Amino acid sequence: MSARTWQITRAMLTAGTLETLRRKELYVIAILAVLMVLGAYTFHFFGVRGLEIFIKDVAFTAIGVLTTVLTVFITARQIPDEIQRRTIYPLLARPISRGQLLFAKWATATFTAGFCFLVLALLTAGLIATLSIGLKPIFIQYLLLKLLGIGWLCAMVIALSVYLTPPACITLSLILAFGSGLFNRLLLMAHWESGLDALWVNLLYGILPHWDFFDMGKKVVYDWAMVPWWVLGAMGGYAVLNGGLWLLLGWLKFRKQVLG
Amino acid sequence: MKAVLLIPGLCVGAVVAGACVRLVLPIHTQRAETLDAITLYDRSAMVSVMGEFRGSLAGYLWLKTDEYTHGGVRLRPMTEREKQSEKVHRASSADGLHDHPDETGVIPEPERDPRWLWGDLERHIQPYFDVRHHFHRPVREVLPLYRLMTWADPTFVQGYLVGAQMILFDNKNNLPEALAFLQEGARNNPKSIAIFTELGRYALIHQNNPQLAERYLLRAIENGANWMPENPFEREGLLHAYRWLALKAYKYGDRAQMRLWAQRGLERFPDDPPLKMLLSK
Repeated sequence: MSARTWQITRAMLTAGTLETLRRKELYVIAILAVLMVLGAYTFHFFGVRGLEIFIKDVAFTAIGVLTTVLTVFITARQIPDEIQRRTIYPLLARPISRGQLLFAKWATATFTAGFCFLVLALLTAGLIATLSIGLKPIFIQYLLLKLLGIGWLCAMVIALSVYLTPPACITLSLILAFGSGLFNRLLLMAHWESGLDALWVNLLYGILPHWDFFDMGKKVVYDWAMVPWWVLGAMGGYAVLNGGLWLLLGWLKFRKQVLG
Repeated sequence: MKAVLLIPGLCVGAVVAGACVRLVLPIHTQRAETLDAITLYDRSAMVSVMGEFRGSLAGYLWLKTDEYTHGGVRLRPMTEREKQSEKVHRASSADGLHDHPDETGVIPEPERDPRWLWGDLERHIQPYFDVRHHFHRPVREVLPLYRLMTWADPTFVQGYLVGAQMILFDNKNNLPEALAFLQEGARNNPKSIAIFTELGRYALIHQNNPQLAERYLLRAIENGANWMPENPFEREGLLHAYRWLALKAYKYGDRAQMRLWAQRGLERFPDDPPLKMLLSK
């Protein structure tokens, strides 16, 4: 990355983070997560003991859902907001290429959504620790994998945001993110039941989104052992390659897009 | 803020989805057929909506119990093609806690997974084990879920039935707690067949009280008189009530009573082999 691109990215990061804090989205999400965990814990006061797994399950489901929603909302507005507020014109009047702008916006969204996720996850982990519920070391791998996934999801959403209107982008992104597990199951069923060739299965698997592969929440909930580190390496490779492809697709459209 | 609006939207969506699931899955729509007042859910629109929510929550927790006992590993019914295949790993229990008739893992085993690296990644990232001859997590971890689901929906009969079994499975000394749980179910579902059959079975096997067992089993048959339940739990409860009454008579040497109950049972369930066997003794 050139020094100039890094400077642009850093400036965008600062502005983007401040914008997210100004919008108070993180606070609302954090309050919702705390309420959900405490809501699950209230059963303890009514005499139901042994709800540790239930509380962890609710907590990590909440983190997963809220992180997905927050990431999509943060990313989907990055470029359309600049266009709507017409602040993109002074930006592009400077010696900044559209590719650099797109990359900086992706980095801003990834940093902001990753920061929100970390706050949410650590807050929830702290909260459930105060309820005397422990977490195993796999929690570290869960955080790392989710951060990789956030980078990948931001790339997909930012690419979609230059092709679609913001509501359409948000809707499609949420469908692709939450539906990724279902698409994968359908491919497998097509192979077993309809004889779809294994080569096609693997090719289509490489193209289809795999947001569900970035979530080890269930393993954290049930206290599984840590996974081999090559798994995170492989998912990192997927995030870079597939995320890079999404950014490339976004750039192909954005570089010639008529703004305004 | 859009994100804030989305959360209530998701909650409403969950309720609507729950209602749809209840329409699609017969077991849920048929569950209320033994309610003392079937109009419990239908008296007003609000009660109806709350009934859907309670039923959906109980159904959700019911599904969760399976996931909890398997440490997050999810199972699914096998397709017809899979049932005929010898390559598919059939789920089976090593500790006798669960029956897994024609079930396999949602994540396929490496031998028949067409995905190369993808399959290995998924088996590492998501909870996975070979479903053949597997062990379960301690029952104690799922007991609170049965408590929650029957609090959420006191008409959730299968919650009482399986919950009581789990209480006893956890510790053989927990018989009073298991009985109390079932009796709570009977109070909340006085028209249920299955709960009274189960109480009769407990009285016969665990309490060694044939008189009490007969009272419960006769109550179950009375609840199922003149109609055939569609709900599989209640239907099985009715069948078992006849079987247990015949077996009780057999155990105490009353062959005439045994044949009488086998005969009556066969009038309701003409193809039941155990009842046929008892009738021919």
